[in-house]
Amino acid sequence: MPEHDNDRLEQFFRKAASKPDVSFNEDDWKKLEARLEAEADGMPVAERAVSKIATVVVLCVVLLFSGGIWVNSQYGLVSFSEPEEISRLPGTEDGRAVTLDRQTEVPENREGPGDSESVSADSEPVEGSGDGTQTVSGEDQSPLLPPDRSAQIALTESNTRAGRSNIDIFSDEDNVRSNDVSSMKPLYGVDDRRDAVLSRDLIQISSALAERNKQKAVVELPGAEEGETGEVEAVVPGAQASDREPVATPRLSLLLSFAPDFSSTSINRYSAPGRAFGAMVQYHINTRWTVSTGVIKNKKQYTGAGEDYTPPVGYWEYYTNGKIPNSIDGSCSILEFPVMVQYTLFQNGRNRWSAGGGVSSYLMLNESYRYFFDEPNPGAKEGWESRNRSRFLFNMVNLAVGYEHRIVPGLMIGIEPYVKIPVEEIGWTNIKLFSTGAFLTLRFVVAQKRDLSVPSRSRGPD
Amino acid sequence: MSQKALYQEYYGYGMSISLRYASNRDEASEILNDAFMKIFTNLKKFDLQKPFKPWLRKILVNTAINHYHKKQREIQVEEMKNAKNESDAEKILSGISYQEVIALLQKLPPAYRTVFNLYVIEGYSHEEISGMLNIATGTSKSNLFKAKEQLKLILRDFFEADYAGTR
Repeated sequence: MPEHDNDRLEQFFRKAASKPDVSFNEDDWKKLEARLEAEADGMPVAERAVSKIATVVVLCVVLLFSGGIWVNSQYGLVSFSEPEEISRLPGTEDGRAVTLDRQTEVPENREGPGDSESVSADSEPVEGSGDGTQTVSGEDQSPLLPPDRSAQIALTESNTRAGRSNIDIFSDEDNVRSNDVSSMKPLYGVDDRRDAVLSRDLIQISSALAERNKQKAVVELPGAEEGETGEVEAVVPGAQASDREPVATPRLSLLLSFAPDFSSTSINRYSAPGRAFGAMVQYHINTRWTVSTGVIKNKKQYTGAGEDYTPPVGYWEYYTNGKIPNSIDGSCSILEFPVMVQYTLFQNGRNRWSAGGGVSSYLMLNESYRYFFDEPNPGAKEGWESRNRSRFLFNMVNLAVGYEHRIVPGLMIGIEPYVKIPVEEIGWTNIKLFSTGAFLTLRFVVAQKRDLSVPSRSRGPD
Repeated sequence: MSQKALYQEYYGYGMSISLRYASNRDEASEILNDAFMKIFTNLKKFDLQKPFKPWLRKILVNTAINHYHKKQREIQVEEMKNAKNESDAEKILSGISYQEVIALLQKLPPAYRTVFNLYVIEGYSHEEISGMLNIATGTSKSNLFKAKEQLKLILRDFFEADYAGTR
């Protein structure tokens, strides 16, 4: 019987291992081939799902951008308004306001210097003189004064041709359009004092605008060419400083957000926060409703009792000696695709409060867990991790409230506390993952709608 | 090169490694196929400028270690059941072929066999092995010692049987 010391033993096995004698076994290949085919059948499904989500998101973004650009190209940039506050002007009866007919043209140099303002429509400049002279584009007549609450001043084309201004003031009860002259019911008769009335009402309009302050209207500079609009802002006579400022009415916004994210397997058990970075596109249906979508990259950290986690059947028996960990710390990276609807609750000057809700789909990128036992558990696995991707369609309900403050036109900062409630278990351990936090948001207006209620710029005399 | 051609080309080499770590041929086949699954699904990551064999070997060893972790408890339970029959293991009657060497190795408990393979055949240090298997360095040394002691006994039995058979 040969004796083998350690060195000889090692040499013996090294030598044996260096001369393998293994012949090919077709059955082994068939097993592998079957697995490869199964994998090949499965992989495209997952990839297609991911690409579908990505395609939908990209399409939404493209459509929203295209829509925004189209809206912008159709209506131009008319950005700031307080439509509900301008409908009633000083000097009018309750429920009445004054609008300027689009077709109006007022003869030049009608008013004496220093005592009047004149109005033009369709970019036809009307000049006055002196410090009170200004020219207002009639293009925005309807924004000035909503027709449903207004009396109207109609300056007809025929009167214009006759070289005279003609003011017709109509009751709002007739609910007529300002350019539908034939159907208008005169509130006051047209008389020889039209010019004087026109001047007086225009002064009232200007005064009202000034008192409302910081209302801006597109103006034509005296002496400017036809259609040319002035961009210079000046103080309208009588204007006073005010805290109230016009509010942007965007059509499309880009929202960047960051949040410390607190996640847990139960509503009252939280660990150190994770984080969430988001890029969203918001489409503003009107002044109240907004829909948004985008992508949020989440790094979630959470802790929970072992019972909150449900790994595959038999896992605890096999890997942790049948003991369920007393607590488990988990972390995961998730791409979140939310679809949200927001409603503006309250808007005041630069500030806006909103509430919203929606659903999110999750794409799990990776996940890891660490187990903690109260008692020593030798041989038990200490944790588990995976980089396998899994997806969960509309598995979270999102609720949020938001406050936003406009820093400069087109740029807003805000805070948006949220809570995310699971409707489906996620991850390898099938957990119901609650999340809460507060997004710090930065919103850029990338396209604005034409506001039909208030002119966009105003200016006084140069 | 098709997948099958690659598999066929390196089957012998891969199987010779996985057999040393496995308790039986089926498990060796499972380790080998797991390794090739990783290779086929990550072939894009392979640097074509580098030789394929070391990459395959590294993947195989890692896969074998994963199997060791995964199957450890299950195999240990089975071995406890079969321990009393170990002395009745098949008798190797003549010579000692590669298959017989593998069969000898496969008589070792997985913990001993894995450390023995990693240390003696692959050339890893005890510190490296302790990191790979999540065990203490002392445990690695102890397992190696016990592996060698058991192999000596197994070899003695083998040669005694051979001697008895040829006498």
